Amino acid sequence: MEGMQTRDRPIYLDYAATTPADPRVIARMLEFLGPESVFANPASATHAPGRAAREAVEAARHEVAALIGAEDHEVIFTSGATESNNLALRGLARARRDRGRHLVTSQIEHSSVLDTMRSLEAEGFEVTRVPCDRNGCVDPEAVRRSLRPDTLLCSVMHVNNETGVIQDIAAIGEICREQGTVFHVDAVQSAGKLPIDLSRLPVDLMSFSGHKLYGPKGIGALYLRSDPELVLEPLIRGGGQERGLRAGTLATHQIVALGEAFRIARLEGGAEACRIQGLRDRLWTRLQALSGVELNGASAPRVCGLLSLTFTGVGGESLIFFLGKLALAQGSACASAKGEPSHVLKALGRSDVEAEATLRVSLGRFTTEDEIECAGAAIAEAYGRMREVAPRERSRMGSRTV
Amino acid sequence: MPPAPYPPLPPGEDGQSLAVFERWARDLRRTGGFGSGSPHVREGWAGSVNAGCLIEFQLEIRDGMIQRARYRYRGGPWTGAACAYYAEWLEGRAARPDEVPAGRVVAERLAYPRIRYDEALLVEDAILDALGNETRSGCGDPFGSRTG
Repeated sequence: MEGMQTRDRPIYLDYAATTPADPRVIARMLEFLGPESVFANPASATHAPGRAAREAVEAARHEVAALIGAEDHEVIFTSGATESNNLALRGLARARRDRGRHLVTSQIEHSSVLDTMRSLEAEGFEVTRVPCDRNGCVDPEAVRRSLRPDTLLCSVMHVNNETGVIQDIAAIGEICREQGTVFHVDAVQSAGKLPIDLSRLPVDLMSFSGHKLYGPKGIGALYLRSDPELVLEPLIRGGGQERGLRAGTLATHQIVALGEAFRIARLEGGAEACRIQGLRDRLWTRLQALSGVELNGASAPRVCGLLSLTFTGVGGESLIFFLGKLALAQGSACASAKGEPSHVLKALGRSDVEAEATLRVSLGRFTTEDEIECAGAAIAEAYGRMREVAPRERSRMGSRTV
Repeated sequence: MPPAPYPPLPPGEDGQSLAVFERWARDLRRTGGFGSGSPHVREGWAGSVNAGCLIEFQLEIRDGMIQRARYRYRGGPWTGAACAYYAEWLEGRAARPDEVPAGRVVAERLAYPRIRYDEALLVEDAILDALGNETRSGCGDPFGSRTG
């Protein structure tokens, strides 16, 4: 497939933030929007257009389930992974509040998990946050030690969105199962990039997003393992859609687009991951030759398309500024009173200054070799320039502080 | 005739647009230093790495005049732009603190958002440090009053 951008556009290297919709996904979506399309309400079973929409929704559900080794009825459509995470965590905790008040998660989860945990604390739940090691790995044995008889749920992400480090969810899931604790996994950054077989993995709940997988924004899914004991309290009530767990008219066009995105990932994801990993490694080979560039999670298993790089000795904000032709993410907000440093990088042991000087480079389906060459050269040039203008070593400080 | 109050801006730039800041931030002229040991070179520092911003300014002073100004910095592009602007401004001026525009004035001139004013103030601090000014008693703003 052709590269997605022209020369005058920035080189997009922020696929971990969002991906463009695949043209095949867009084409599929358009079949369900206009007056000549299958636009009817999937809940309108009394007429053929409604039934056609329902069939399309169920076909999409099957595609989602097929990628992750689930049964169709175990897939619930949501507005995205944030809602999926909220439904999983709040829904489970509230449904089981009479059985316990303890929840477990890691320190490096996405804010949609951490913020939800904080709000559950305000509701009276107690939360244990398990740390990670310097490579960003959560030790399954640390999770085991955190579990208690009254622990309702443990939530650990599959792949970290800042470092790309893969967590051992099989081991953590086994421990949770031994302890009788429900296990939730945020799989936003792993779906389509790593094999996921929920018929084998000891996972009870798993969250997915459409726009991280070349689908549209505003659609996601929650896997809910088929088990009569596994009950969630819905966040949104109304017409009883999605088995009563997520009320609201189903967004047929987004759901079929999600199904198409998952279908493409199932058919092409393996080969694509190899290609992207090759590009990622090529970029890292180029950058690691620069003195002062450090790869976060270097000794840990990492997902194919992501590099978290700390550029020692320079300011990350200036680096980003001089990399204007690259669209990439700063690993954290600026440390100079403009925002909080990344909680993930801090958990890895990075200082505020190092966190501020950390950039996330994430590659994807439309990244080309030429772009990686350009990006490598641009980063090397900008970093070299910033190193040149950096002050000499000196302990003396000025009078006014930021 | 007194020198122009500011280095000339490109045509069409009125000091109120992001383009002004970008010009100075991207075109980092006069970076570097003069080396150590020269009796004519004075250096000043401000900020700290831990605070996210560290500035080193060097001034070559002869006969009471700033002949050349050089700087190094670690911080955001706003810091770099202020350094570049100040360096160009200072050359050919008298080496006196009251010749140094206040950071606030420079920040306004470069159309900084308020949250970035502190970075221009720090650059001013480094220059005043180089000039040996310890008091900063309301001087140094030839274009208006200093309000901090």
